[in-house]
Amino acid sequence: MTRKSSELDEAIGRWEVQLRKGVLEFVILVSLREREQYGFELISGVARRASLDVPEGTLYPLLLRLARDGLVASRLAEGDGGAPRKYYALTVQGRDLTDAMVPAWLRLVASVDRMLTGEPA
Amino acid sequence: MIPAFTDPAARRHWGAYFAEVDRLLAKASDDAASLCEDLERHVIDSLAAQPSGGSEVERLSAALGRLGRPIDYLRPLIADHLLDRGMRTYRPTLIARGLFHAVRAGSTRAMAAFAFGLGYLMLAVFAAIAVLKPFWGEHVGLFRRADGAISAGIVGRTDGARELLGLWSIPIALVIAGVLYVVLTKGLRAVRR
Repeated sequence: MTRKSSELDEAIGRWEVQLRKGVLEFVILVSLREREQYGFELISGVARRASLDVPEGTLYPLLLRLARDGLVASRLAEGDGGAPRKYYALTVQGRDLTDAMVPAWLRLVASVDRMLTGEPA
Repeated sequence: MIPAFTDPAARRHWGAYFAEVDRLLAKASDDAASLCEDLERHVIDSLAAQPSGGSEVERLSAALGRLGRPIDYLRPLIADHLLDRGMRTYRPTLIARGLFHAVRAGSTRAMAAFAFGLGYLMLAVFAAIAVLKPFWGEHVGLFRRADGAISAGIVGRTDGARELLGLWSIPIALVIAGVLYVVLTKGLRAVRR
């Protein structure tokens, strides 16, 4: 591998990390819109389905902030092995916000796609 | 909530990781305390979801590796808490610590930008010393006060103080500003590469 292609890979890697960090909150909200989930299930699903390979620990301070903002609520329930698990779900406010974010996201993706394909706005 | 490890090394590894989490969360708000339990539950789930094989220590290391270094993911939380407390109590030390963590949490690039910003600010101070010395000589330079304390730069109160460098302050400040300019610019070039 040449030095130039390695620098390019590094630059793309850094850009992807920032991009993924930026959409993590939105992806978490979208994932919780489907159903309530416990922490490991939530981050595993996000990593698998949205290819968001972020450190798993990032999830919990984010969930704490979303809970403080009244967007997410949690409850303790029995887990598979008997140890209680904390399940997270969207509040009404969180669901309203996510519902409003989805069309904004779709508009953004469509406009960037149009730029890439050279279509007029 | 410690899993029943049979290998003492795995127990030690778990203990060390969560001691670090506890230490960091002690700087954060009270409701962050439940976060430690959430993280412990997460690792237990992560261990259960792993395919069997490998030693306990290897499996635990893999689970903790996926979770990340506590300082990396807890820093934004600590920053928010310190800034909230600092703004509520008007304590500059809390605000400064909060800003430090906020900048570090942003990115290494933001930290570098902050450090270089400070460096260029120092450069501007030395340039200002060189420019102001001929016009405001009694307040610009290196001063020794009557009690022996040394003050340097642009000094407001110089009553009874003796100026040590005289007009030598100008070339010295210019040389320092020039060296800072070269070092900072080369450093900035290296960081941006």
